[in-house]
Amino acid sequence: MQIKILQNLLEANEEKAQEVRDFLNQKHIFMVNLISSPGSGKTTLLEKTLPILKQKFRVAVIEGDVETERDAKRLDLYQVPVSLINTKGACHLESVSIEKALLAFDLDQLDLIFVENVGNLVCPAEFDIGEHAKVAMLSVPEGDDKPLKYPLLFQEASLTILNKIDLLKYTDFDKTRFYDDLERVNPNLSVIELSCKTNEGIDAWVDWLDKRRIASLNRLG
Amino acid sequence: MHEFSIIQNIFPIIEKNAKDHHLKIITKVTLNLGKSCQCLPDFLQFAFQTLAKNTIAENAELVIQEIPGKSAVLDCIEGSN
Ligand SMILES: Nc1nc2c(ncn2[C@@H]2O[C@H](COP(=O)(O)OP(=O)(O)O)[C@@H](O)[C@H]2O)c(=O)[nH]1
Ligand SMILES: [Mg+2]
Repeated sequence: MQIKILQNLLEANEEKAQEVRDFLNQKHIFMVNLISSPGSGKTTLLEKTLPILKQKFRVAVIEGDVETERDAKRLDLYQVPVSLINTKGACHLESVSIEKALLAFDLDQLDLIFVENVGNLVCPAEFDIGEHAKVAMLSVPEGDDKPLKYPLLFQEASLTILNKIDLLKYTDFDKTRFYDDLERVNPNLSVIELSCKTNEGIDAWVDWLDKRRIASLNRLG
Repeated sequence: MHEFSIIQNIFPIIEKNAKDHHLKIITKVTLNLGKSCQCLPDFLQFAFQTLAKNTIAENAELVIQEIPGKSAVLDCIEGSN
């Protein structure tokens, strides 16, 4: 006997993600899911932008880390609420973990939440965690072929940050090829070229966040 | 990497449906796997074999069919009472 089931196995996560997003919407909080390989510069970008964003918004960070609390410690200096999720080996964050992490915050006192996802270009792209925007970060030393090799992330993302452009002159990173490939994978994707060393592009990033946040709030009416 | 968590979600659904339809043994489980789901069929097979032990689907065959998109859907199960 055959029984037809047709049940989506990722559905539980997606439903929970929508709950998280609805809840954040009620509180008028904009949440960004920051995804990259280990070492691309996610924590450094937060270190660079928290002092600027703090002047304008009430910000908090959820740190997804496989084992340690190092990144959470690095951010402690900036005196924003930080909630750490140790995934104990898991390669991505899921919405249930975010729901738990949010308990650490006073959500009536926040405008903006960053999630630093587990360093990985593959799995985090598949899991909606209730964010309003996924931001894919790629750094110059990783090579220009990543959009073609990991298309899903660049399809799901609302923005790509090309970090470490201060290193362009030392590598064979081919910007033309990078943009051509991105165009094939996702023609609507915006790109910000950035360097956490020279601060180039930081303004554009802050500006993007500001605009996206307002657009998201306006959509709620 | 999350092949195991996907497969883990299958067993409660199998158990429930088997019970509802009075099946004692499951012989075949069919999974529709999105082309961009980024899960390796070989790993899914391995996860299935490992996690099926001591369940009603212990000796079932896992059939994986490719579909467009990024979802993973439990398509159907076959068994006997
Ligand atoms: N040259 C250069 N190095 C950077 C830049 N951004 C980050 N780094 C360095 O890259 C390394 C990894 O950064 P980190 O923020 O820990 O990466 P994460 O794993 O993505 O959080 C650190 O040594 C940073 O100092 C950049 O724009 N230029
Ligand atoms: Mg980090």
